[in-house]
Amino acid sequence: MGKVTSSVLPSIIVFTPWLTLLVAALWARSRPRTSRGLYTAITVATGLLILPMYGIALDGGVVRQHLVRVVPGIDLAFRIDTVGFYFGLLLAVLWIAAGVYSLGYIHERHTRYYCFLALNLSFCLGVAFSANMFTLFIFYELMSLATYPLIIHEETALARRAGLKYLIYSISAGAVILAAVLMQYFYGDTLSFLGHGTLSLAKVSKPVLLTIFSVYMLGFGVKACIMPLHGWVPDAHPAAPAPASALLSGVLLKVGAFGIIRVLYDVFGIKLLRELGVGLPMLYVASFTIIVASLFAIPQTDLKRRLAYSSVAQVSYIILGLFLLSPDGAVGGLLQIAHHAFMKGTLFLCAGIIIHETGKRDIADMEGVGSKLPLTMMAFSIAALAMMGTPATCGFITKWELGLGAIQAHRGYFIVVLLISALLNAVYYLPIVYLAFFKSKETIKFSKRETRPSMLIPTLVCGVMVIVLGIFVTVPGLPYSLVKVVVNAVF
Amino acid sequence: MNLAARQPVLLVAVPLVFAATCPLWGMWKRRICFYWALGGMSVTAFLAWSLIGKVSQKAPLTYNVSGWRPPWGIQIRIDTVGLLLACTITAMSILLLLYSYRYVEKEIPTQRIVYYYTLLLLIFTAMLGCSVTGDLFNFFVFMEIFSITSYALVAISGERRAIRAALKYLLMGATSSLTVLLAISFLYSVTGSLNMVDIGQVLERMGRTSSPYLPVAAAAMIFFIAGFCVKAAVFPVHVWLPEAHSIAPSPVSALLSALVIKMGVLGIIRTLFTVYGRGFSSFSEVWGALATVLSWAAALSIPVAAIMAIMQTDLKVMIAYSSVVHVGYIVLGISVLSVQGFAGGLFNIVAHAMGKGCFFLVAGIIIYKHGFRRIDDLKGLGRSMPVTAGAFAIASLSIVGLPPSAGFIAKWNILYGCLQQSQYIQVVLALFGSMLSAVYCFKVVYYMFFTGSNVGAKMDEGPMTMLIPVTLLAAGTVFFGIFSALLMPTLSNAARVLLAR
Amino acid sequence: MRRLLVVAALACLGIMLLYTIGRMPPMNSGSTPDKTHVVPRYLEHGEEEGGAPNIITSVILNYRGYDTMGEVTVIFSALCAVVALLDREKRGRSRSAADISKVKSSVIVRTVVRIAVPVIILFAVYTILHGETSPGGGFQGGAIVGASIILFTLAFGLPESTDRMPLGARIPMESSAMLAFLAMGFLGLAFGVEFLTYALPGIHGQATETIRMLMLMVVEIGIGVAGGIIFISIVFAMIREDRYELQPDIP
Repeated sequence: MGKVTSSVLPSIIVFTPWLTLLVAALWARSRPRTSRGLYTAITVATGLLILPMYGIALDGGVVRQHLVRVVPGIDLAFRIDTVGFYFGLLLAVLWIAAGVYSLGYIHERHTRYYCFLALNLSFCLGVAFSANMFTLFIFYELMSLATYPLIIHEETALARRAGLKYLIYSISAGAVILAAVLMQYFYGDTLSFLGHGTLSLAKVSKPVLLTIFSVYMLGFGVKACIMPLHGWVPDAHPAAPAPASALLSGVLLKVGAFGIIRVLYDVFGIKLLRELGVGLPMLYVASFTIIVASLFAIPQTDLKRRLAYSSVAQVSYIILGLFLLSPDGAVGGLLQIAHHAFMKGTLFLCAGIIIHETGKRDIADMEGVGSKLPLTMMAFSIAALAMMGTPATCGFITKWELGLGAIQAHRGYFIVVLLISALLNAVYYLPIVYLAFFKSKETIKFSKRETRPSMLIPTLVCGVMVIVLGIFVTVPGLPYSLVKVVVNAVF
Repeated sequence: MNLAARQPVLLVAVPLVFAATCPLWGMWKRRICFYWALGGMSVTAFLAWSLIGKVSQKAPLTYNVSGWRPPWGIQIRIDTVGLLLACTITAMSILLLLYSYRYVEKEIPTQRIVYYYTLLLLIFTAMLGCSVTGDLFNFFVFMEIFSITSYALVAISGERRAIRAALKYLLMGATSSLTVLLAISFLYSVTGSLNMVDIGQVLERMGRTSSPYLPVAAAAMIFFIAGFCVKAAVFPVHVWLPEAHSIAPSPVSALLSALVIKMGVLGIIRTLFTVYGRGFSSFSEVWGALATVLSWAAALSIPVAAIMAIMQTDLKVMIAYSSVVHVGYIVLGISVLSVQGFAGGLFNIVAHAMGKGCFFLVAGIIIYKHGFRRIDDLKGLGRSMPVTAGAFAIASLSIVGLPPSAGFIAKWNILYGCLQQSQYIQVVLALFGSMLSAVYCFKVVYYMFFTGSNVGAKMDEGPMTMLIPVTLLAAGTVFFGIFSALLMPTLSNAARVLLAR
Repeated sequence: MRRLLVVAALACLGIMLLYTIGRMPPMNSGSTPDKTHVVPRYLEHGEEEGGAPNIITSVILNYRGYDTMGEVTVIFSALCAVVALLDREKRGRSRSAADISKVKSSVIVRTVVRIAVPVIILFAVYTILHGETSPGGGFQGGAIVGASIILFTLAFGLPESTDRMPLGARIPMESSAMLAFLAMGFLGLAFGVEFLTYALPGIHGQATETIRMLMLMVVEIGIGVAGGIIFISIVFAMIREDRYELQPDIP
């Protein structure tokens, strides 16, 4: 175990994005271009501030900061452990990509968009760095609210309806989580994350523990879009502007999954979960989600809607990995957080470029897009291949680890789920690639101005990351090294 | 002359002097009234706030008016609950007066402005009197003052429907006052005392000797609670509230919702815990049944009133129904009989005062600037009035009970209190109600920020004297959400003492 | 449905009231709690402690003087409400007031009233000032003053009586009544004793008694003035506004 250090850094990191509000208040009207540059600079600065924690996180250490005592026995406090650092770093990287991308993509209502983008980063970091369930819940709720303006950014009727649906889902989920947190505090006496479970069968009866568990799953499951609770996802993603969709799918859904990780490792603990026997039912739910959401994706004609259903399926990989309750499975699940973020980030950013440059949203219209936007579509193809689990991409690594995990947990038959999923992924991704490149009447030409560099560069970087994460798996600093530390500490 | 020891009575007498002289100034120059009232309440606020830290529930600050010891004379008795209310009242009063400065010029007939400020001073004085008194009849006297002044303030715009609303309010209010008076006389007939603590002791003695008059005391308790419930607008006797609170001028609405209905809650606390709590063990089943009935009425009112609020198209009526929701939370916290729930209920008194005050004042700014009352008309106000609309958005976090706001801390504690007492259905009802609250609050926020503009995007804010109170109240909800530890331990201690039997 | 509920609620209330009243201590017994707890001290020491031979006055003005100050405030609030809501100055001299003045009552009525009113007022003053020792006091005297002026108004019309009792004087008089009460309260504080204490220290012998009596009298007069004015104001407002036209709703 690493050492515990106390520092003010966590709150500095969490609140740095708020500078955006200041910049907006000062210069949004007088100097719009400069202020937009500054917004991005603030995001980059936030990312840079996270990096110094790397050494501590790799040692399994913890950085703590106590903010304020809210209610006797309950504190607002930050605690950066390895999972938190891993997630926080991922957040920052994706936010920088989305921020830069937005410079080219967003053409109206800049101030509101960037402010809420920054607030969202702040709140997500707050979730990642929470020291207890109470703090996590607070930032989780704020994050839910701050996402709303991003979803309805375009203010179309479609976006409004999607936004309303999103709000209903997330506010209900908030109330459910609150009930769960209350119950946990009432029966468990503490909400702190200590790196091991704080509930135990010795103190609390089994039915109560099962209730707490299922209420938590019900609450966090909405964001993590476990199947019957996924209703808002396919509406919200197409409605939001592309960089926001990329974030939604890449990270915000994972915040729900992150909540589940905390419930698993810091509220219940592996041992208790095995005793309760909740692993298998959750595995079935996750498998159901993976297969059914993939099936739903196939008939979708709207590109972003298809990607959204794919996200529903992919996030359940994380759930699947976690509930195998075996070390390798956990590695797979945790890796999926980052890997899927880059894969789906690339896909959504590409979809954004396609929509921005050609105005086409329907998959049937994608004919020949590849010749017009070759670099974009290459990135798209790489990410699509990764989704199917092609070796040398990061998608393969996750599936491999998940497979290993399934065997390790003596539940090898879940590999079948992975295989079916890979197949279904191929069914709904390859036609797009095919249409884009091979139904083209024109020849491919690399024009200098394919799209704005501010949009193309983040997209290509994400695309390259998909391959880098698939080949240089064990390079220190990449997700695998951090995830190993987490899993070794838990198991 | 040792004035510090006399601070309790000055807390009531000083604003009363200002109230009595206010119309005299008005006869000379109308404008002076505002400064006079503001000055008076500032002095009073200083008197109240300087008591912080000197008072606890166990050792309240007492003062015998005219020097007569209780039970013969009237005793002023400032405990934590009383001080909490006194501080809230004085702080709110300054903000409301500041807000009124520009508002009344437009919305109230000119010759009535003098009386508007006089009545405001009187209502603040009366509420202070209620908060700090230790005498049951004295409580009633001050209750009459704030009732009469609030009927007048509701009707002061002179609109036909305002007078109709005030009349309805008057009928309900007068009936409830009468019920309370009846209860006081019943109780006096069997105890011979009017001092709250003394009655508690007499009742204890009566319980020990199983006096034949105990049923009368029990009946009196029921009358008390019935009367105070009307004042506090507890479901289902809240029917006067939506009309009266929505039609009154906005600062008055804020005053009524933020403070006046809390006096009914105070009445419930005083009777249930100070008067009857101590020695009523011999009648504990009536007492317990009453608390249970209260908690059920409160818990039911949360979703029901929230649904009513959702159905409204008029902004102020919607806000008024939301007050019924929050009275539900407060009374639920108090009647669930757990320390944490009680403390949460007390905390919600402050949280709701700030949140609801902000709501009504925002509605007032919108009426002042544009004359809009319908929620549909608020489209795009977020662009032209960013501060006003922003304050509404922040306050709505508190009203819905989302973190990190004071409303959340209150809700958390109340729900935790319900869990402690295994009142699971109440928890579910309250959570469901808070989800519904989100619907009506965010509907307004949605219209303000996320729809096409109705009034143009040019900056067009209300006057500074109206913006400052609104901003401070909104900031207060967040401040107390984060630094609730400033208040919660004190309130928990108070709750522990009140619940100890 | 609604009516049924109301009837049911009223029935419940009635049954509860009957039940409670049936169990109340008997009125004619001297040993019931209401007569044994605080009352003995009032009866035994009321005169010397309270400063008034009339025990009721002692209790009202001294033991529970703070309540009475509240009552005067109630009256003051009511007057403010009446003036704020029912007065229509400037636009006033209203038609209805003129109508009333036209309706002349008969000579007999006017003559009787002319003779009776001074006597009634004199009696009122007696009631107020003598309330200390005999039944009476500020509230009662105030009511009598009010009644006399109402009687005068009915006989002679509003203009006649507002000439004698100008409307503009109501508020200053009411304010002064309240301020007088408050001044008596603060006098105690100024002398270093409690708020609203009539027995001031530092004064010896007969003077204490006299000062106490004077202070009680000031309070009684204050109450009388306050009480009289509220009666008059309400009736004046009713006469002036008997065709009270509500201002139209502002949409």
